[in-house]
Amino acid sequence: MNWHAWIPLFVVVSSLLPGLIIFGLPEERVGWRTLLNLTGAVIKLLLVSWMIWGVYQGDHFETRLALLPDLDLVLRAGPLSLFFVALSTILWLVTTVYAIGYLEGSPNRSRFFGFFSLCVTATVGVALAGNLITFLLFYELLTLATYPLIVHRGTDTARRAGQTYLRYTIFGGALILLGTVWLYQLTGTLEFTPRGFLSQIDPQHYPALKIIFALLIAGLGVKAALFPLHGWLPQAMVAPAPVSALLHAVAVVKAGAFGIVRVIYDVFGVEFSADLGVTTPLAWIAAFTIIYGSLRALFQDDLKRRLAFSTVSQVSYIALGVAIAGPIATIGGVVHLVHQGLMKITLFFCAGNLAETLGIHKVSEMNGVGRRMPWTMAAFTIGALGMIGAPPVAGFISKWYLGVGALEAGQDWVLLVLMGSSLLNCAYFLPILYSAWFKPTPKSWPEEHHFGRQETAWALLLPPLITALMALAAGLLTGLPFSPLEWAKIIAEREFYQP
Amino acid sequence: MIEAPFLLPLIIIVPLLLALGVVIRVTQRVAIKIAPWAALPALLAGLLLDDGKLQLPGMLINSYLLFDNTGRLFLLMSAMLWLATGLLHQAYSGALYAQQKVVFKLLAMAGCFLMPLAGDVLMFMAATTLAGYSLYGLLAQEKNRTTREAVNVMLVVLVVGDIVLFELLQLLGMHAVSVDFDAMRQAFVMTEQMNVQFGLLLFGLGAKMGLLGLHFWLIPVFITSHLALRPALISFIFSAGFIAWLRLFPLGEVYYPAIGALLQWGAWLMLGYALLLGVRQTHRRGVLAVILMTVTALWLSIVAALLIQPELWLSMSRSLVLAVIQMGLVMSALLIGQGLLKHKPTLKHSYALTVCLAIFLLAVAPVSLIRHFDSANSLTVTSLWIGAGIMMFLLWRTHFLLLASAEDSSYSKVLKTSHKGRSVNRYLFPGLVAVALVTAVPNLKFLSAITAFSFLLLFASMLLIAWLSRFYKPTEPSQLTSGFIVQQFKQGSSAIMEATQYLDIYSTRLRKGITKRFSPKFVLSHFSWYERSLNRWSVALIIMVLIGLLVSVQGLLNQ
Repeated sequence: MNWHAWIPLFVVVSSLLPGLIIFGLPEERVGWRTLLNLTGAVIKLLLVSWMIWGVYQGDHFETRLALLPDLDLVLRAGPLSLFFVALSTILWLVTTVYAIGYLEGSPNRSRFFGFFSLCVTATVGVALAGNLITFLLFYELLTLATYPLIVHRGTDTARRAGQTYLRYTIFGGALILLGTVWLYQLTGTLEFTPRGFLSQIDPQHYPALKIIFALLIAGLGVKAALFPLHGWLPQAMVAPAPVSALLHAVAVVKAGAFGIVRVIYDVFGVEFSADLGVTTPLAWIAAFTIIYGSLRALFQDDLKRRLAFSTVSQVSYIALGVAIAGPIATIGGVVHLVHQGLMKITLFFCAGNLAETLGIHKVSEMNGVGRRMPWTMAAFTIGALGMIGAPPVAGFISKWYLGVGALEAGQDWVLLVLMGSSLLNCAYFLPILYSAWFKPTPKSWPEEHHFGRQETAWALLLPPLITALMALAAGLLTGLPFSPLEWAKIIAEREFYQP
Repeated sequence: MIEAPFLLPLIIIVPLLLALGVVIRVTQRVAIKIAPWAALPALLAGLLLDDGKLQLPGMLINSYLLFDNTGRLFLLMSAMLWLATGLLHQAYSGALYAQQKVVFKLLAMAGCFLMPLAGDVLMFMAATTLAGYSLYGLLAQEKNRTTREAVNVMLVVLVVGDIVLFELLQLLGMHAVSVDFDAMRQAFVMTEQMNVQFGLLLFGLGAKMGLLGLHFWLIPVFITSHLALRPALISFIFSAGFIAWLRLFPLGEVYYPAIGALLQWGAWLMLGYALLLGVRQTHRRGVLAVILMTVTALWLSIVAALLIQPELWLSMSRSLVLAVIQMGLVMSALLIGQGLLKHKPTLKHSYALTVCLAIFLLAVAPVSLIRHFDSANSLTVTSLWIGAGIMMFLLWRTHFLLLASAEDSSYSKVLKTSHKGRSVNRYLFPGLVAVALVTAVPNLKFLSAITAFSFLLLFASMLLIAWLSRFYKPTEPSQLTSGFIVQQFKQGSSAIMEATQYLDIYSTRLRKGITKRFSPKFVLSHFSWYERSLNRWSVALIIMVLIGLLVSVQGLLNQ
């Protein structure tokens, strides 16, 4: 038996199967649920590690199942897909631990964890998709699996946020479907190919290709929260903290950004996209979104909402890096996929801890919280400094490569965008840190829960500490083999230098 | 000397581990006790380790630690200043000791030690950030509002300076083969946009060194920071400012007379401004902030000379580093020495003698560099003399004012110091001056007779002028963080002084106006409708269509 042909499928099934079983588990079976969740996550991690090692050695992992005549369901592990799979797998494990602690004692946990597993299954499917149709299937599954998580609390606000989310994402999905069908009609293939499969196409189809590009990017831009399609993201903040973490760092937003990378690299090809003239408008939109998201974040008092607008801004770094269409900027954009994930998940975990432990939801309520929850706020500080781009946290490396890459590609204006964004990041993150560490502690907190001698439950405290350390390590130890930066370099090399 | 570069990381790791120890409950007590001595490994390394280079595999982008002569001198200075900070901090523990403070102190210390050791720009940026943010954390621990306002202004300036510097490094990084300092200097030499890049460098580093226009954080921070933290502040400013100049800018390799001439006049302007600012200071520590501005002005003047005559660098590089370190040590000594001035009776002979020696060493540092310049650099030579004169005048004047009005609240009001704190200070103050004296010897050896005589004449003249000027007393400060000059001006002040005062008032109004316009309350009250409408998917669709149209039109125009 050729294991390499099945491992991508096993990776998908490793979270699908526990998810389906969890749906059927009664609420009180906490132990079984936890066991299934963690076993699935660990198995997935082992399988992904195997694939990473294999791909590093030059092995080929591909599962191909017949779906329609001439159209297969393809799951393939390459450097780019594994980059995203590794991120979502590691963060899924951490988020699962966090969610177990976060939802302890709350109702509908089987439903929650069932959809949670489905969500990760869809994300991994999106990452491993070997062609556009497989990508679209998992992309839509992701939409459907995330909706119940957003409305999990069942409040009116949650339902409204869920509806908005569905409207946006189904509209986006329809655009991608339209673009995919049109592309298939033009080319007869949807197979992801390094450097794209469109460069040989008849020039008379170029106008059509431009429209297809716009359709695909608009569709993907919904989940990637590109301006003006970002409206659903701040509203989705009503979801529980683990879901917010999942939306912003692991699954939904990242799937959109990853999709943009896929379309430019493996459908159109970077050089062909640049020749077609479609990357420049994308770079403008991404740059605008970066500044716009930061400006909006600046004026939010609700902590999660501020973080949501920060995501709107930060995720566009990925699109910007790819749209600059140069090897160094590509490294910056692609590596930010992981870096932003690590930093943002830390921030959302911390926001969740503050809400669960002290009932803090607003920035204005955070005075002196650093003294009450020093470890949580230390993790938050690392995440926030990373977002600002302060060395040696991971965000610094992304910004370095983006800036140098932009200059190399002759897009000097990007430097101003990066500069403005850094300043705005400082403006909306540093006041939080100042309030938390240096302002006097209030006499009472909005809704305080005690956890013995600890500042909060271990299951809530460990995940942000782990992800904060990972964000620090990703910035500090960039030269190590298998570091996100090294992996991003491999991706850029494949895209730009390999024959 | 021991050849063991692998020991270099210990200089950084020891304070970091101690910081971790302070955070962990079990080790807290021990770590806090050892913390004041955390600078000892750095001091020992500076004295005992041989020059060397240590590659840090996997760290940042091929980063490494570099231990050369410049790094050694700055490391020694930082180690001494942080040791002083540690000892003073411990001595004043009654009022100030707190776990959070010790952690910030250790982190800032690690950052300051890493700066002279960093072999590449990314490591240097990491060190600056660690030191800068931690120092801010340390200073912001003070409970009074004025201090916090002052350090907040400092933070803003540091952040903006760092961002500008980061952009400069990216511009250089595009042309450099690697991120180490050698490659970056080469990129600087080869650049075609010297004006832009030099401007960015000047702004980025000037923010930390109190460059004219970016200096408004200096005076409030100097005035409000606690005595124990002042040596740490000097260590940061000197490491983040002067080392960066020495490492990043190819002094002696760039011939750019146009920028040199401009910089020279800028330095002169700054000297003049410093004199006005110094005369109007009501606070002794404020005067030392102005002295730092003067040092920066002198530095710029020397850089200007090197841009006009790069070949001077070879002969003066070592003397320049020594002179900078000498000034850093004396300034720290004077800053902590002020803690001894609680009452008039403390102005004993030994104190007065030490102060005399300190002022002498501070002023003689720039004068000792004059031997490297010739007639082509008369502007620089003059500025060095004038700078030395300004420093002496302002410091003497401060002490005469103190003697003349010990009852005056603005001059007699000092921090309440513990007995233990004063006793530690009594040794540290002359100790630092003595080290500065040792640092000065190599330069003083070459002082010609005529220069020495001229200097003594200047010394005596400034003493006399300062004594005469004691009748002009500045008034109480209106508010510390208001900007360029921190007090109301009297009727009859000169027109220039009025102009700077107006500048101060308008800059304050501008700052307040911007703050108001950008306050969340103000903006939210005007933009809530906008927020609501943008969250509708239909609006998003309309904007998408508009963007599509825009891109199409642009495409058509291109065709």
